[in-house]
Amino acid sequence: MARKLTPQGIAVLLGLLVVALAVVFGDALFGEAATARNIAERQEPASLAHPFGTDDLGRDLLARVVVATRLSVLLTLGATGISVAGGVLLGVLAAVLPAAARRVAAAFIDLLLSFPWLLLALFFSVIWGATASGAMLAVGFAGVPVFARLVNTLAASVANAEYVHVARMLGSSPLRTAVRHVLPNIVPPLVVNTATHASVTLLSFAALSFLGLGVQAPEYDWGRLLNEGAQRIYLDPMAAIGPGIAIVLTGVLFALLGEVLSERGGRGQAVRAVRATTAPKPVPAAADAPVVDVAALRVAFRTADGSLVERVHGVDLHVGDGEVVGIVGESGSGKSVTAMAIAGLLGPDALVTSERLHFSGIDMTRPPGPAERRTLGLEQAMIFQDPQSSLNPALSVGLQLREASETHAGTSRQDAARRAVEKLRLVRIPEPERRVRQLPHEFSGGMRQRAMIAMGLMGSPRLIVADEPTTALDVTVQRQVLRALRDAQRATGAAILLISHDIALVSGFCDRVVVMRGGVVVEELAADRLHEARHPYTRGLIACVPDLTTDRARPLPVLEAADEELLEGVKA
Amino acid sequence: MTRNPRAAALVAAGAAVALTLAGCGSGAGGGSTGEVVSGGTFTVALNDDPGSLSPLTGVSLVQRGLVRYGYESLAYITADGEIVPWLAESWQETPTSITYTLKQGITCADDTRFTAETAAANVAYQADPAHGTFWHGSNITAGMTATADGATLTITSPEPNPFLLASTGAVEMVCQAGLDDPESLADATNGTALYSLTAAMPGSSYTYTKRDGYTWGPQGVTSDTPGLPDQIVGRVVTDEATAANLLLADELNAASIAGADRKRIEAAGLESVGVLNPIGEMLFNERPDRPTSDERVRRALTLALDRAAVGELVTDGEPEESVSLVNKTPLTCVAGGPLWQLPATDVAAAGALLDEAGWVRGPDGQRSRDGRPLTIRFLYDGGTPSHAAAAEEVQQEWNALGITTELVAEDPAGWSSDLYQSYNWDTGFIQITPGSPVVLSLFFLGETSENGGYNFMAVENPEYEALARQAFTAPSAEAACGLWQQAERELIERVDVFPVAETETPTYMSRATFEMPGAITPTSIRMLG
Amino acid sequence: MTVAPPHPGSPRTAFVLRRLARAVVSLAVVLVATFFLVQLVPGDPVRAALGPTAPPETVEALRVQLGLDLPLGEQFTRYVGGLVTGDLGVSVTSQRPVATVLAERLPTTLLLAVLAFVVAAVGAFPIGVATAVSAYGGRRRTIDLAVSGLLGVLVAVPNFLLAVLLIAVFSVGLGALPPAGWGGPANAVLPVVALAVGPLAYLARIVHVEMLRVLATPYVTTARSKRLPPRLLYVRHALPNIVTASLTAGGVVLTGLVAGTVLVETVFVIPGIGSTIVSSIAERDYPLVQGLVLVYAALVLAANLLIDLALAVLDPRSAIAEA
Repeated sequence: MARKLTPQGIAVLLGLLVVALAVVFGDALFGEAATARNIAERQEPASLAHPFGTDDLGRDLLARVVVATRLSVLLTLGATGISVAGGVLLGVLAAVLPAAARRVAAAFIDLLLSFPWLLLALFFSVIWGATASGAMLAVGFAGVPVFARLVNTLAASVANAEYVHVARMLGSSPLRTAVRHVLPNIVPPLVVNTATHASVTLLSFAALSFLGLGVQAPEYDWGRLLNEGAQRIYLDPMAAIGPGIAIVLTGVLFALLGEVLSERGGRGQAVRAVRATTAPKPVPAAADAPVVDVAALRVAFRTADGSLVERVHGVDLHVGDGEVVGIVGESGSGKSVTAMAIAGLLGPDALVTSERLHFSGIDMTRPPGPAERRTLGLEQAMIFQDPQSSLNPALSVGLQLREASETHAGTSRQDAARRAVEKLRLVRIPEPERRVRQLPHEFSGGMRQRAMIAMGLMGSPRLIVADEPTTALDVTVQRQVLRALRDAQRATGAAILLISHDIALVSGFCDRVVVMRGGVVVEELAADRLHEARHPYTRGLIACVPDLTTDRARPLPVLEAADEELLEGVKA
Repeated sequence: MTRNPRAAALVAAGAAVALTLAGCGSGAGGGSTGEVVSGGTFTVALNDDPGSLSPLTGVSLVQRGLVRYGYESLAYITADGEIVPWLAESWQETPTSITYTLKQGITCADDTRFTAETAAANVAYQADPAHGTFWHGSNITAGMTATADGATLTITSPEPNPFLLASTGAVEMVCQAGLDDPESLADATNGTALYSLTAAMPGSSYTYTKRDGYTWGPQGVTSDTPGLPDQIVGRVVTDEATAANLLLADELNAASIAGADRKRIEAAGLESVGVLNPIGEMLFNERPDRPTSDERVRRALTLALDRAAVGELVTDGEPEESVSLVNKTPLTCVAGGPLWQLPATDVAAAGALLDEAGWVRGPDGQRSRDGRPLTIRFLYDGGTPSHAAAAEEVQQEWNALGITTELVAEDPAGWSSDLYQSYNWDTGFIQITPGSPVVLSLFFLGETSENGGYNFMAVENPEYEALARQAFTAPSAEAACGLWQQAERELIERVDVFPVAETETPTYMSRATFEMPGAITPTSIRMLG
Repeated sequence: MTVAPPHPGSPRTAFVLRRLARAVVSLAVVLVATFFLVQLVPGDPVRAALGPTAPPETVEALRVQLGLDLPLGEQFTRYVGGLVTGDLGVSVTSQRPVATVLAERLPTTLLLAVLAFVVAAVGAFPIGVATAVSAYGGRRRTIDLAVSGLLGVLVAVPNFLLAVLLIAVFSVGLGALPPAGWGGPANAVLPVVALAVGPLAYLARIVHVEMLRVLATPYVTTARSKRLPPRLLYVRHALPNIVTASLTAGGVVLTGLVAGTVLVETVFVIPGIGSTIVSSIAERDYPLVQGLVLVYAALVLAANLLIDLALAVLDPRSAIAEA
């Protein structure tokens, strides 16, 4: 699906169009003014007739800057082409060669990189002589190592992919492998980097010209014009600033082109956020307020093209003290978004509206005050689906456990540390004294989830939100994590909001089950009365759970993704 | 390639007799503003790093300029071209010899005495071709001998030489320890001067410090003369605009500014001393395989030039008519000249000459002969800011005549290789800066570079040669000068050289004054309050 | 952050040793390559050094004295032999030992590059973090666009042009700072700024992008759920996680700075190795060029090594992943 161009993208394309026009028509339109010598008007400062002034021979500098576009851009493209071609050759080769040769080639690239490009360019331009083509070769070759490294890194990741292994095992030669399998897969990032590199190349030419090694008279590119202008900069600044502007703007255009291309390549884009602006409602006293009290919750997200897409269409939810509630639904049903809205952790790109969205009597649609932050920090605990990324990889587990109580309860570091060990022990993590000092990557996935639970227990939790806490874990570990969650609930009396797609797990763990689909609650019933479910979707979910009586020869029932009938049933 | 505005190919060489000459740029004036104050530091911009500081072998302008701070010569040539006593208090000349009487009590930087024996040893060292010294071949020639007797030094030339005083009197004298170990002079000074090197940061700065007990300066200068600085610092500033900035920021007392930045300095009211710079001089490669070996081609090339335009450009707006090919102090034999006149621009005549020489226009407008296009390889100095623009003008004008002009911006190594190794050039902005016609003749007479001589253009001008031979042995300086001026006319007539324009490169003075006969004389520096 | 010190046999020590070995081998290859690459440069160094008028005998004498008349192979063995004792040969132009020239000039260039790096790094982090935080989730889009536009422009301004403009404004215009030279702290301001602005903008953009990435990670959501004050959220939780990418970018910057000094030293007349390299190549001063390239390569390798080591300490996963 082609995405619409952002305003930035349109600006870049317009800019490039101007450059392209200057390349093609610059000489025809301004060539006359750029070459007409007029000794009487030499070295004129900037004026209306000559916005950038005139040069040593009295030629109009603006016209010369426009005409120089062609040579400057062609040189840049030529040099970038050399860099890319050389880099691709070297980098891909280094990725598909046999192991030993591969290592040598990679070391060779590293070695080339240790020559600063300017030195290489200096060398080459002295060897090839100070001419335009010499400078192009010099800058082009000097850029080869950078690209070789990039391509090598990209190609190495592709070359290790299974389909490449397979191709190789089937007897595909390194060259064939490179051309057929590796190259096509590294083209998108390569294109992005080529655009960015063109920007650097443009600057390189300017630098070479500054040292007198670039384009020589009577030819001229922006670098030479800049260099000539720089000699008179204290008298007529525009003579240098004019070509400088051309270099900088074109450089920025190339760099931005790279960004625009990379965004089209799929990088997410920040979207404008709208905060709900509902009037604050009277807050009931916290102590007797329900843990979660939600009415008519709607959540919408703004997409890249600026339109709003609503994901949750008016959900009501109520969780009492110590209650264990499960929200079940397939992915995209809005269950996680609902939970995150309750926790107040949706990003700024979410638009939340509701009649009521309260946690412990705190209105979650407004930014919390200091006292409310304290309550939230101590009374809310979160457990996420991916144990790999929900703990901060750079901080010790102990610190991550300690900080909420240190921040909000004023607990001393020692006390907090002692408490952290205690809580880790509670969730059955062996050797907790040693473990608190470790970094998350030294924990297994199940241990990390249990550490997350322990983190929630550091305060005085009223609610633990567990968003698919076991999905990423294998069955044995799942059981350990659920037991830890159960232990935690018993130890603190906290309510639990368990989000899962697995109705069997939820029904076994929770007091009450809320079934969601397509952003609405389709059914809500006690866990032990699940068999009484009336809604066809719920019944479908239950039917999907295999048990000992399921006939394994028969395919499992499949829920149609867009089953209009089911949705009709909801409205009925 | 270094951004050195001074042409690398300024082929520096020695000096000879000054008669009654109007010294160039004695507009020094300066001294009228402010009071003279003793002490302090005088900082002067060097437009390139000198590398070696040896007074014996240094050849570049920067090197020769620095030599003046640490070494002195037997006689002093003033800015007005007058020769006055320095290390020698008096002298007597014969056609083939000169006898100097040295002043009493001259001491060296290493506190040894400077004797007539040492002076004789200096001449002997310079006269040996194996040493390849700067003055060899010009001021001191291979046959010269020197003897010492008490305080007198007698230098003898094998042939009559009317310019013995100006030539031998200008050679900087090195003290005995320096002569014994010439390599020690690369990074230290050992001379009799008022100042000696006390600190060197190559590539950055060279500091000379005044010494006590100096009594033998020209025109009575001693250590105690009011206004002398305690230190002289030569600071390497390769970029002219930067030098101008430093001058205006009071970080320099002196700097040569040839280019557009002059306007800024003059706006600030700084005074200057001028040094003649033949920045627009064009020479020709006359080797048989070059189109420029044909006098008609050379003449056509020069006739085709709009001399006013090229002169304006090559001097960056400050052109002066050239009056002699001798353009460095003491400007020997310049007075009374020139006997030549440059031709007026005549493009039609230029075209006719080229046709006559067989270079005719083809259907594409390009001239060629026997299928070979008329291509002129034009050299100019990449570091001289005004050269590129002027070269471009030359190219446009010649190309309009059907000539293919290739421009080559040279760096120092490029100059050496094109002029002295590959000989792959036709013409260009190439300057020779002799102080006397004798030195000038080194480049137009005799052995070519292929044979180890100075005649890198491979000029063979019989009329010039005949007149020069007469001038060498002329009975008097006046007679010699007359012959030299006639000889010079022959060079112009045969278009062996074409001085488009010259300019006076100003050295600006800030909070100090000094004399600059070619280079700044340290004993003439007076600091202003 | 708690990090155990490396001990022998640990993957980290092995990693460090391997990197060190690779740097040494690289340096050796650079040495050989430079030696022969320099020979490709047309032109006669001795002639260039002595000037066109020097008699052939003098040229020949210097050539013999510098050993440049020997066969290439022998020159190379002599050069390598000298290297072992710290002798890098003698400069053709100044006839001073190359090692001495480098010793005089290297500290200046190093100081310049390090100062500029510190300025760039110290400036880039607050700017990158602040703009990312304010732009997170698409808030304040105009500010974000303005800042990233400005940074983009600053990256694209050639440092020598910036240097000249700075001189024009602050020295010639306002007379506030010296226009050139080296010595006092006032002399360092403009060169360091000229050198640091581009890298600063580049780094700030990297920090900005990385920060946006980190702010969207689950662990930052975890930290948010604890309702930590912004200082802890951004400094403690987000910052350490942008270090790897920022340091890698920092390596690129440091390498670029080493090369950037060439132009900036030329503009400000700073007696470092940067301004020397340009003139030594022009003068075909082979021994000096070789020494300079060797030093540059060593600097670049050292910079990369430092970055790798810093990564190994700050982000042990990178070292372990490598092993």
